[in-house]
Amino acid sequence: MKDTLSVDPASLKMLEIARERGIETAWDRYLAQQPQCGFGELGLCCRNCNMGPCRIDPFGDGPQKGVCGATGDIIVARNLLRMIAAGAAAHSDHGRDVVETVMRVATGEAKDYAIKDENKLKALAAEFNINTEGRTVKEIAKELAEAVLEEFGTRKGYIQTVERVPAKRKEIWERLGLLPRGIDREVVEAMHRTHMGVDNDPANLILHGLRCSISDGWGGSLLATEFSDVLFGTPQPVKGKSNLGVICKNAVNILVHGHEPILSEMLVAAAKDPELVAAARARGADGINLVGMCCTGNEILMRHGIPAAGNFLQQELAIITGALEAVVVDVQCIMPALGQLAACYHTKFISTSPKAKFPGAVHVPFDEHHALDTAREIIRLAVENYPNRNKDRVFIPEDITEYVAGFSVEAILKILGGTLNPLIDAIKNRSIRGIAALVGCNNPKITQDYNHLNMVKELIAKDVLVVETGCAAIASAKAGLLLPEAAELAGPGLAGVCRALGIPPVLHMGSCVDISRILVVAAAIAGELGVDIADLPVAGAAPEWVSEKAVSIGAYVVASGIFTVLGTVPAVLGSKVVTELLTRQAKDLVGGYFAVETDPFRAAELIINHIDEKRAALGI
Amino acid sequence: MRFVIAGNSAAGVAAVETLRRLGGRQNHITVVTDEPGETYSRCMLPDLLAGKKTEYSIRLRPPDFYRKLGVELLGGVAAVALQPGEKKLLLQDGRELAYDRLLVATGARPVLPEVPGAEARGVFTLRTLTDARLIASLAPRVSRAVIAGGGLVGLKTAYALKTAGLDGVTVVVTSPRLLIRQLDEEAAALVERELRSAGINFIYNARIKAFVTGSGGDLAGVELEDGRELPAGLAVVAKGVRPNDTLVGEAGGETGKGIVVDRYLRTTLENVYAAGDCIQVTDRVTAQKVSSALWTLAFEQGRYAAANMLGLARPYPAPLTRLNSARFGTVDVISVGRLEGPEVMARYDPLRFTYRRLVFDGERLAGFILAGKVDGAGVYTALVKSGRPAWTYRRQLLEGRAGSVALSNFLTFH
Amino acid sequence: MQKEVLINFDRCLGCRSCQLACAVAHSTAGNLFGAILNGEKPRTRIFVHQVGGQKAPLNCRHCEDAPCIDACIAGAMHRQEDGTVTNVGGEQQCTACWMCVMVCPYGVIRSDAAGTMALKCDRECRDEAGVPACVRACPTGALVYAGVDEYSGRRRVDVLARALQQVSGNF
Ligand SMILES: Cc1cc2nc3c(=O)[nH]c(=O)nc-3n(C[C@H](O)[C@H](O)[C@H](O)COP(=O)(O)OP(=O)(O)OC[C@H]3O[C@@H](n4cnc5c(N)ncnc54)[C@H](O)[C@@H]3O)c2cc1C
Ligand code: SF4
Ligand code: SF4
Ligand code: SF4
Repeated sequence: MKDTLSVDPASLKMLEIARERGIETAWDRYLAQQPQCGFGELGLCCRNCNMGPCRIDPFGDGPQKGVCGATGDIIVARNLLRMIAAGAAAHSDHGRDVVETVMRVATGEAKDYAIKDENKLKALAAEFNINTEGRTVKEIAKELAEAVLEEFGTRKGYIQTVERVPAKRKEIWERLGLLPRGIDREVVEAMHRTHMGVDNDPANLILHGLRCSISDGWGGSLLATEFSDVLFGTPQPVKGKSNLGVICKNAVNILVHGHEPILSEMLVAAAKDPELVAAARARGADGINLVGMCCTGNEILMRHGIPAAGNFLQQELAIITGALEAVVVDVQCIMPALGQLAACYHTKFISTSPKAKFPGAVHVPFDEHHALDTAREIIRLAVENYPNRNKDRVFIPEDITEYVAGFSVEAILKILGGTLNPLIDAIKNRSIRGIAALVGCNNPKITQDYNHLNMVKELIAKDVLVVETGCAAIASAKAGLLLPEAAELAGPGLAGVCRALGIPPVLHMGSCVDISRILVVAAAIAGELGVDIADLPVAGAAPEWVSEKAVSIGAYVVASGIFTVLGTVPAVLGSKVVTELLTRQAKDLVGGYFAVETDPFRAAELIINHIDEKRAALGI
Repeated sequence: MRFVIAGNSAAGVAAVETLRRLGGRQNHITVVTDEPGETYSRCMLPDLLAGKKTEYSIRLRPPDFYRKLGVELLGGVAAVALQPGEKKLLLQDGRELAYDRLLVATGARPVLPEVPGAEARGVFTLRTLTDARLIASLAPRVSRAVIAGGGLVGLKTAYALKTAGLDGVTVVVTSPRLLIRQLDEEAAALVERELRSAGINFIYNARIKAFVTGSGGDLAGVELEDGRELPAGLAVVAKGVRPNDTLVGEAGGETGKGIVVDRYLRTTLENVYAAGDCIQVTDRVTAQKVSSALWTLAFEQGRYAAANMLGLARPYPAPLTRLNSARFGTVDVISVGRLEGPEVMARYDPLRFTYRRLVFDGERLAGFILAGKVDGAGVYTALVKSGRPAWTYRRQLLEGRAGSVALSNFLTFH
Repeated sequence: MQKEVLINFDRCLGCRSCQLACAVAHSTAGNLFGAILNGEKPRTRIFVHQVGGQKAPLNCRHCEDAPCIDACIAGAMHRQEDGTVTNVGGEQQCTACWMCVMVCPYGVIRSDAAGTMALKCDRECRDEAGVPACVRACPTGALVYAGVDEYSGRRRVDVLARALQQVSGNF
């Protein structure tokens, strides 16, 4: 499916506009990058020291070792570990920011925030052995946040939240030395090991990669999710709208893009400020329209039903509508191209994180102490920018699709009546054949959303319940798959369950750190059945993945025992040893393993076969 | 114009192709050869003996080659005399071929030792397809063979017979070691080791006194001057070749180490050109007059001669007359130019299983040997040939980094 | 006009993408991942070298009076209609005698992995538009497929001709 750039009609319309106006997008830059370096594609180049750079001839013709003697296997393994470390660092640093905000709420420094989910706070406190009896929420929050911040660099054997995995899983990890320590330690150790002349055993490197990723999935990411819920409330099903059509012709449009909810939550509040709304009206706008992009979009859509303007590859397209007064960003997956693009329009590109500055951006530093004020300032910038909009250059595609999102674990439990048993029964009686988690980004190597949507459709048609996060979830939102009516597309078993519960066949479970929610459900089901996660009829997929975060995700999902299909080829094929390890030996070691399948139909088939195999093994 | 070419091998074929390529179709071309049939690669005759190639696969050109080029081929008939005044070539069968320009490309013939029994059944030389056929038909019926001569043709023949399955193959070498004209001791030792491990025996410093015949006149063995007797049902004499220069010589043309030609490859006879193994050339490096005796040279001379016959005046530069490439099992050897000189450096590269020897004469690379892996050899050859200063590249050359030398050359003129 | 792979020396970064692309183009799979997954070992016919700070690729120049054609004892090395000098696709088969290796002044003919035949730039890598794989792969435009005149006029021709003459003697 190479002949079209996207299957999203809104994207296609905007790409047409971009072409007419001579505006470059990621797709153009991707083409300009062709051909991409084969050594890089295979993971065979190393820049880890200054005797290098070195690259290995994959055909055994040219050099087979780096200057230090590193073979292709070593180089591929080191590169992969570094990718995992970077991805794990990104998620977990995000997690730490959220926990720190909770801390500031507890100390009273971040007065604009509050603890929204006290139940969850208390449950977490119990998990961390913190006394809650007779103590104020703030006291508990403070002690908990302290304990958890400690977790990031924990000196005890392994992180607390690992206790959430089924006993069998923990045994496997213990046996393989995969019980993760704090993420700071794992990432630092990963960087140490990949330094020239340290760890040169491909398997040892990959195993550490798994440990590092587990510390992310079951640690940093999971804590990001849990503390976001504590701070902003645990998501419950909520209706909203998606795709570029949510940008309003007559409103001050503000696109919130990035990953953390800390800023966006405040923007949601500030956008409702009557004074600012009045200011917008005074400038001829109907009001202020906040829309989300990528995972920041996911965070606010599932808590507030804020419209999702699109997924990763639409960030530029949103600006090209000419109707954005501001793009406000924090961290991760923000294309540095936005600065130059925004300059072609009246759009203000506002960066907020001290960690993430961009060329062509106005930097409005955001800190929790003056959160609401800063948020107001940002919105004001946007409002004041409204008169600068050139109405002749505005083109907003009409595409808008409704969705239902916000299926946190708690929400699912509530729908099921308080226990997982109805779900487990449905799996047992094969109304639900299995569960597939589809996650990850958009990649210009693949027709936008094509892999996502086709996999989802194939899977639900075969009674596989699909759970999604991140840009994959937004793809489904835009295609109407997150609506209960989409049950029509599901097989009879799954459709029946959806109708009975009033849920869509594809459940939006949050942003990319919220993959931890999926793990928690899987662990709970396994626990209920007295089996390991690896025994469940469950699989994962990242059909259009891009980022190093996705590499970490893939690693911890596999390490958790779940078979995972990648839709774009990871840079590991240069090493037979590493490829074998990931796609075969991993199965014997951790239960989960990778497959690479760029065709969504065949990828779905792989998942269904896997699910059937697991069902057979369980005797259901 | 009428062109006649005597000889249908490397030089002859190259000439035919060039006459057509540069001269178009209008000229009349006749090729005479005393061998029957189409042109084949003489150098690949050992492969035929070894059973690695068939007569079909050693063809030099496809069967319709002459027809396609519109060339008349008179096969199986020798040219016996030349009448330069009448511009006529007389053939064995009495025919007379008139020409405007004649190319003599009659090659060379093997030297036969003047020892008793040399005419016995079972004693051969290897030069023609007919020779190869005879040897190949006898080989399966004997178990032991003696090869006289430790040069390239001798060793190739020995290796071929061994490959063909003969039990005992012994090479009798006059010199103290093999390939004395091509290799130094180290490189020769590498080749010897390879050949010995293939099961070939060597006797050095030995001369054949007589070929001994048994009952019925068949070869029974070889007697050496030191009295030793080597039983053998087959012997191949490979003691070098002699240019076929009589056609020109008897017609009054000058000959020396072959037919004497000027830089346009003209003989001293009007309208008669010569190319290939039959001519004498001046070595580019040593300035000595020697027989040409190499495939590559025969081919390029054929090309140059043809251009000159067409009146294009292409002076033929003095060639390198030592320019050998051979393969023995896993050992490839290439040897070019001088073997000895004022400055010699040599090194075995254990990482690439390759021996390299460089001979410098002042700044200039005068010769080299590569034994083992020979990739990049042409860069060395080009340096020997061009005579450009090469001393600065000695390290790279010794280490086998020919590519960067080639690039330097390129860049120097960028 | 006959096209040649011309080398713009100032642009080469030494990334070896051309080498990789050449090898891949000569694989059965025809693409990098496929060749790797099949365990193929295709060989490149273009070679990146370095002299001082200067990096540059060298491949066959498809010389007008190609010495390798003269040298080939098998009659395998020949020139095709479009000027390509190659030992494949002709009437005769390469016999791995390395005569061509011995005489190529650029050192760009080499043995295959098994030592059973000589490999060289055979331009059996061109896409539908007729562009060779190495040229397509070069990210900096150091390799250009063009008629010599089209490229940059006489100067370059002179340079090439002179280099050729000096490097190879007067073949
Ligand atoms: C076994 C073997 C291996 C060799 N290996 C190599 C090698 O590895 N490298 C290398 O460079 N060289 C090698 N040579 C030498 C190489 O074969 C010759 O240099 C080359 O064949 C010379 O070509 P030519 O055209 O000059 O003459 P030849 O090949 O000798 O051909 C002469 C032609 O003239 C014809 N002819 C001769 N006299 C007459 C006449 N009176 N009337 C009509 N026709 C006549 C013959 O029939 C023949 O067609 C080898 C030779 C042999 C025998
Ligand atoms: S670490 Fe080894 S392989 Fe990497 S750049 Fe340094 S020498 Fe080369
Ligand atoms: S190696 Fe092959 S192409 Fe080269 S000269 Fe020998 S037979 Fe011809
Ligand atoms: S691809 Fe281009 S830049 Fe890279 S090594 Fe080859 S010629 Fe040089």
